[in-house]
Amino acid sequence: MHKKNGFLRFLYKLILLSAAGAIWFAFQSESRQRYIRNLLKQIPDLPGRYSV
Amino acid sequence: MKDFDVIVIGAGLGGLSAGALLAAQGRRVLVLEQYSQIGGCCSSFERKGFHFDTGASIVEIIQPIEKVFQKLGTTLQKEVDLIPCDPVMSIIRPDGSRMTIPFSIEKTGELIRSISPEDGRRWKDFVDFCSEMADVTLDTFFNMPADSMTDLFAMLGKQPRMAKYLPVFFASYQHVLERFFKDERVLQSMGYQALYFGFPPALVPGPYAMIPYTEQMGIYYPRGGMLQIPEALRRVGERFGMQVWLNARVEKVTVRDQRAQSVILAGGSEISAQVVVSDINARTLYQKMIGEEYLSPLARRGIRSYAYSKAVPMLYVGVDYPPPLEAHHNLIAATPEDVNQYWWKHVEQGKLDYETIGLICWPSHTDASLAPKGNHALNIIPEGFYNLADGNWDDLKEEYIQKELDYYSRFAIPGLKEHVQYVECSTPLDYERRLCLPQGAIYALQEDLTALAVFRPAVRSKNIRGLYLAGASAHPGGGVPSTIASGMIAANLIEKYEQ
Repeated sequence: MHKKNGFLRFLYKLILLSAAGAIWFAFQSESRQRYIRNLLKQIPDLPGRYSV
Repeated sequence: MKDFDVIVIGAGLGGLSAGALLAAQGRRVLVLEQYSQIGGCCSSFERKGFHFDTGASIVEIIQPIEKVFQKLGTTLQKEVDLIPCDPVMSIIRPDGSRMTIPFSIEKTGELIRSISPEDGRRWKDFVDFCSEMADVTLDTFFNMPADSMTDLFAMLGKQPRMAKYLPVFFASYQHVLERFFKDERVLQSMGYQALYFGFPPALVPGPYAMIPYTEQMGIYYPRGGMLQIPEALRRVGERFGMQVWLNARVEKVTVRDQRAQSVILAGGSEISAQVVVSDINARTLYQKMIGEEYLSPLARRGIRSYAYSKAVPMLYVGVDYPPPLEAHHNLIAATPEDVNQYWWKHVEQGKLDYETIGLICWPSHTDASLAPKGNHALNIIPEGFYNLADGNWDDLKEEYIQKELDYYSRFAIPGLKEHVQYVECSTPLDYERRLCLPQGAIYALQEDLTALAVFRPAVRSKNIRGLYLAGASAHPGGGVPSTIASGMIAANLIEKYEQ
């Protein structure tokens, strides 16, 4: 029960954080959105690049 | 015993600065250059009495270069006659009118104020913002390794003021400039410079927006052409016993027990060394010369993920009249958004636009000895890219030259076409063949935030011992001061780790 509540709390925070992030992103200028989108797109490559 | 203490692959600026500094440490250094001339992109050549620069056309942010020459027991000023370029640049607007930027922070402020009083007021804020950031960057980013998080914390420890600028990394070049300046005519003088980092203003990291300020720290041209800078590094290095072999193409770097052992030249001869320094594109090094099998699975994925940096075609034009230009550097006016649009519509689609943004360098304006009396040498960079949607550069070359000469004659350099005495074009394909730049990538690898500092290939290889990287592939990236700084960072690390 305790474990289940903990997970729900985590999920709730994650949803809140994602929503806040999405709202913040929507209010950015188009150029900044492009910049951030370009960075986000490359996040999966970063561990590999750090290892080169 | 090994044949040499250090072998440097490539006599570009990074390789020569590393080689000279390592020779000054008392090491036996051999620099191997595949081409018949040193310098890589920072070189010059002569045709019919006209002297042209191969790629790099000016030098700015000279502090890292001064530091290298100091470490070599001399000074940059003693070794290279640098001529300050004043005005800093001229902006050519679509209607042919020009805006000339003087070499003076105050006078540039006045010029901006005459266009937009509001932007003129913000110029002072911009200068304050950039001057501190430039101090911090020169002391850390251009001076220290950035191979690991520990290195980044060391930078922060040395310059705690750096923390103040961390949020700027999460904004783009365009975003930072548009925070200070609103008038389109002012922004037209600042958009093109983002391409010095190989990306449109929307994708270049915010700290690079200090370029309009660093231009005011001084733009210089070496008397005799850009080749004088690598020549000076070679000359000083040779005083310490450094050897440079030309037309010596390295095919392979041999590795045993995860340590670099030797290099194999195109003719099959093998030269061994304690340490190998690579001044070539990191993808070529790891994927072709060494082999991915020596990399960890994660690193293998990492090296494949880098995109090559931008490529450009360049026209070398000799003319028999003084071209109607006003500065050594002349830019076709472009706001950051104009440059973005060019990028999305043309570079990304592979569709050439013959009438677009560009840069005209006029070296014989600064140094008259570069052309026969009464004549002038011009380097025109009309923008372009490696991958074309239709056709290939070899087939297009002649048509490209004529179309660009038409465009520049009509708009930016009236009378150009009637006065041409000599013209030659280096396409991205030519750069690839001649200088071994894969896909003509002048800055080696992409230079956005996700491929900088700890995310750029490490100067001290994380996979192969005794292997170090310099040049545009390594931290701090492409450009004359950065590549020279990369050589210094590599030499410092070798001094620390390779006794």
